[in-house]
Amino acid sequence: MGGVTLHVADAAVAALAAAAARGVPGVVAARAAPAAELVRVTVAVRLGDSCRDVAEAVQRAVTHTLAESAGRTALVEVTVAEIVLRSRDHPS
Amino acid sequence: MTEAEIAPLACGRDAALVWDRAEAGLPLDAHGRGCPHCSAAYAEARRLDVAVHRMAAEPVPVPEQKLEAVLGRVLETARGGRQPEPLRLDSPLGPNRLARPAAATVLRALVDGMDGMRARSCRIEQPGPEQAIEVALTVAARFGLDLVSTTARLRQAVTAAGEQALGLPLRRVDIEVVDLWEV
Repeated sequence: MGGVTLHVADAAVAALAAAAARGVPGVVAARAAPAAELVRVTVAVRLGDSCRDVAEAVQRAVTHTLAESAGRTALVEVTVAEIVLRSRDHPS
Repeated sequence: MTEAEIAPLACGRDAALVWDRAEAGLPLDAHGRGCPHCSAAYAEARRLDVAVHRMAAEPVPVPEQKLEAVLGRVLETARGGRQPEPLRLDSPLGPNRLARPAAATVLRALVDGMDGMRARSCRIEQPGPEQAIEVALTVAARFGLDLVSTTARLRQAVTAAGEQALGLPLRRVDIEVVDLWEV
C-alpha cells in the first residue's frame, strides 16, 4: 500500500475554525474564511469581556483545533465585527 | 413654521373637505357628484388612500440572520477593503482587529446610559505604532446639567470602557458638547 495523503477542504477548515471560535467564552457568533496559509475568523462578542482577550483566545483555540483535527498549521487573524450590548440585540 | 394653506378647488369648494370625505369612505354630496373638480379631487384622494394602505399592509422584509450578514460583510471587506481600517488588537500570535463601528457602538452606548447625555458622534483613531486609541465624542446634553462634572465622569467612564471592554488603552478623550436640549 502506498502513502496516504490527507486533504481537508477549505469548507471543512472553515467549519472547524468557526466551531472552535464559538466555543470561546464571550463569542456570540463566528464565521471563518480560509485563504492559503491564513484563516480569517470574524466574530461577534458579548459586551463585558475584553475584545483583545477574546480575540486572542479565539486565535489560540482555532490554531489548536486546526492543528489537532486537520493537521493544518495556519496563521489565524481574528476580527471582532460586532459587540452585542444586550442579549436581545442578538438575533437567534 | 406655519402650515401651508390649501387652495380651494376651481369650483370654490375646500379641497381638504373633499379629501376628508374620500379618506372617511363617504360618498360625494350632490354638488360633488356633478362637479368635475370635486370628482377629480375625490378620485385622486381615493387612489392615494388605497396605495398608502396597500404599502402599510406589506410586510417589511427583515433579514433573518442580521448578524450573519454583518459578519459576511466584514469578511468581504477584509478581502476587498472598502471600509475604514479596523483597530489593531495586539496578540502574541499576530495582530487581530476590531471593527471601528463596533467599538464606537460601545462608547456611544456608554454616553447614552448617562443621565442627561446623548451621543451624537464617536470617532476613534489609532495613530501610533502602539495600540492606544484616541476618542473624539460629540454629545448633546440636557439644559441645566453641570457640564464640567458630567463630562469629567464621562471621560473616566470612556477610559475605563476602552480598557476593559475593548482591551485598548486610551491616550486621549475629547468631548465636545454640540447641543443642549430643554426638558
